[in-house]
Amino acid sequence: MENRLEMKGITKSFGGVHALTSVNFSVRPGEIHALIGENGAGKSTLMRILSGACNSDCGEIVINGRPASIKSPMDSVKLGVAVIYQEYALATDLTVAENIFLDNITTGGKIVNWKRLERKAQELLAKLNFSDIDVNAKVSDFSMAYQQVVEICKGLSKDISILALDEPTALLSNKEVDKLFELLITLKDRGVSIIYISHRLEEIFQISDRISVLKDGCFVGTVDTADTDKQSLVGMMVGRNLNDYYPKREVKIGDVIFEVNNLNSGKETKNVSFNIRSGEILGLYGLVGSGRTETALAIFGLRSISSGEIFLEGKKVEIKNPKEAFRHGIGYLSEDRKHTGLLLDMSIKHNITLSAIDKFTSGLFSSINLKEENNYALGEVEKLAIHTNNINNLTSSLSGGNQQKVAIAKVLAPKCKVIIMDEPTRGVDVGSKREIYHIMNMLLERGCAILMISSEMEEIIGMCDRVLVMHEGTINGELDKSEINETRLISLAMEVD
Amino acid sequence: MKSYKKIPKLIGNMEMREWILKNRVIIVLVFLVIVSTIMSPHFLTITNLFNILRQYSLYILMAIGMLFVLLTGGIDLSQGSIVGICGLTLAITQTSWGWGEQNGLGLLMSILLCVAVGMTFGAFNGLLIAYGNMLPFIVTLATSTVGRGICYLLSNSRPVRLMKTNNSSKLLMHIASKGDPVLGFPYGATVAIVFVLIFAWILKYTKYGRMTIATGSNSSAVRFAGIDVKKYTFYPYVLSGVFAALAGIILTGRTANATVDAGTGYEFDVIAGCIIGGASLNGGRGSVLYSAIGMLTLALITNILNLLSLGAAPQQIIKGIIILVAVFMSDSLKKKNATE
Repeated sequence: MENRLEMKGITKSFGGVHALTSVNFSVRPGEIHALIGENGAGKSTLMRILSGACNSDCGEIVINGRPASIKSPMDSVKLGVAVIYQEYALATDLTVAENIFLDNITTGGKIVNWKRLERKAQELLAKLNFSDIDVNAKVSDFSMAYQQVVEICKGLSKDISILALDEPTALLSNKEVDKLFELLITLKDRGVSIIYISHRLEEIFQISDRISVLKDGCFVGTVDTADTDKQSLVGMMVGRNLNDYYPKREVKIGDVIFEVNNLNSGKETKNVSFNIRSGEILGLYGLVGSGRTETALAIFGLRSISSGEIFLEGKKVEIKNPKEAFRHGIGYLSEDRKHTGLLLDMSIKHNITLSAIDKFTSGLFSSINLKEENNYALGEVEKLAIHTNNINNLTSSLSGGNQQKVAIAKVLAPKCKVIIMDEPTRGVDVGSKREIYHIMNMLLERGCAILMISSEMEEIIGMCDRVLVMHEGTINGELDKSEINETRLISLAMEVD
Repeated sequence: MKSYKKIPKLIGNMEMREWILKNRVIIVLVFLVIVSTIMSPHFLTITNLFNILRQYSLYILMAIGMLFVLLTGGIDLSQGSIVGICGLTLAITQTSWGWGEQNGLGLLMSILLCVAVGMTFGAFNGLLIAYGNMLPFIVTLATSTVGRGICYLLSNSRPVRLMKTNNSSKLLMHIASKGDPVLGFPYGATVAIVFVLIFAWILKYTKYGRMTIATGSNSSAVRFAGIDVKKYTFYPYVLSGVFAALAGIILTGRTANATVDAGTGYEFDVIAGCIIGGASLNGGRGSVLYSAIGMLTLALITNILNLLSLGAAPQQIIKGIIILVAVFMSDSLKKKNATE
């Protein structure tokens, strides 16, 4: 038996979007196997299929030489698979021992034998050289790293042979990372197969035995860590055909209208400076967790700023909340349509006019001129090509692409000069994508400036005049239109240079 | 779905299910009236109908306040206690403080004081909930308990009677229990109808109404849209307190008596009425008119059960079941709608 785990021809699509196309992936016993690829390459989806959190459309999983049918998380647990996601699944108000044996709290008996539970938990932790963890302390009292150890122990309590970790070091400090690596080596020596997903190439070279690369839901290849280097990995992650999918625009780029100087906000935004000109799209690329959205929220007044200045048309502005941001003419299109972008159970019309309702109100009671509001909404529906037969329908009745256009209409209503668009085409079908790009060009013609945050390299390359690349809260580089290519973007985002 | 596609033509261009979904309260009300008329000869009489309105107009007022709170996704369990406190405040100012001896001015002063008391309670609830980020259920449960305690302090656990010899008390009693000289339509019901119309207008046609619904629908998205969510979470509790105060005034006027436990449990009937009228406890959904009709529906049910001389115990059970059915109906209809 050469491979502990084999995933063959795994295919999965979500509503017409292919997340994985015929992926083959195999892991040997007692190895640390890194899985890399840019955002949306399909790493997490592959792990979700392995854990049974979602089912593949077709394909086969073989564990220890036997075909395995994984339909639910229960099945994967029985087969000795543990997947640890970025958000830990711990009951933080319970003790370490209780968490480790959460799904088998009676350890085989009918009632809880606390002494035995504690002893068993202690034994497990001791095996991993973490006997300093008090099994009777609440999980919430521990740091992220120790919580992760508890999470891994939870998996180990059930005799696992395959352990998958999704971005395990994203929240850990350097010291904690060392501790985690020690643990992973211990597990590896005991014969556990470890799948290690990370954006951090440094770590991957430090810990892994082999590396597999995914790109756009396809399997690119597996290499031995010893035989490769960062440049050749980047080479595997790039290489796409760019077509003329992106509408051309002929907009004259004007003067600087928006400027950010040495912005600091928490760990996610460190000394960020940039400017945008009218008629220009400035891209903000980076991997998940690089601080792009957090920086946008800080500008928009939704995260507190510790230092830094923001200038709009040469004048310094202070923005403490979204209301002030809109008043100054800065709009933000949220990346999360469902939770922060739209009121899904309100009508299309009410969503479109939400941010600019004051335009339609008058008098002592701020009564709304329904006719004007109606006409405005109708106009926007036509202009932005929102496909609906009635603007009084609920927004939730629209397709993802049309919902996104409503969200855009909502942000445009206050007539902002600077528009921050966070993942403007996420979860949107191809036709709507093109329409959204047209809307963006239309805005530029009006003299607006757009800051576009995107995880899609193609989109960045196709649409942006300039790109900033973020890495761990700082801007790692700026590329001009002529310099933008996939290799440069990935290299800067992963800090290969 | 094919079977029903032909039906819509009979009722204009609106789809049948949508029409039923929207107007289910009215359908239920009409159904109840028909059934009640058949079951009891005393039901469809002017005296009986006016009696229902006289008794329930104060619930309808409370329902307006409650609806605005429910729209934001909150709940106000302190309404009943505010009814009690304001009833006592009114009776005490009219009798012990001697405001009852002055004419209309004395009554006006009492009413304004009651409204101020209700407003204060509501503002306290609203402050803790909107600006203190506390849970509406807990906060209003606590203020409800505090309020009932104040009732005991104010009254020394003894009822306070309004005196017919006092001019202004007499005026209040007349307004609260009588109707206009021509038809005898209860004044209380007139007051309720006027407020229902005003607040139905506010909900539909003003920025305040729109933002209240939006806040309950998805407060994060409203915050991202640059709107002061806290403000729109705060005001409904003030409104709810004021309407509870008005209810307390009418209740005391009608019974000529303010007791320690007046208003106890009213909030639950009011919440039930709003829900029968289609309001959602999750916020973002509900109408003033339909909440009032929901309240009337509950009133009719109580009335017909009384006319049929059913005891208090079976009445409670039947009322509870009807509330469950109402919620079940609105949920299942909504789900069907969502999957289409």
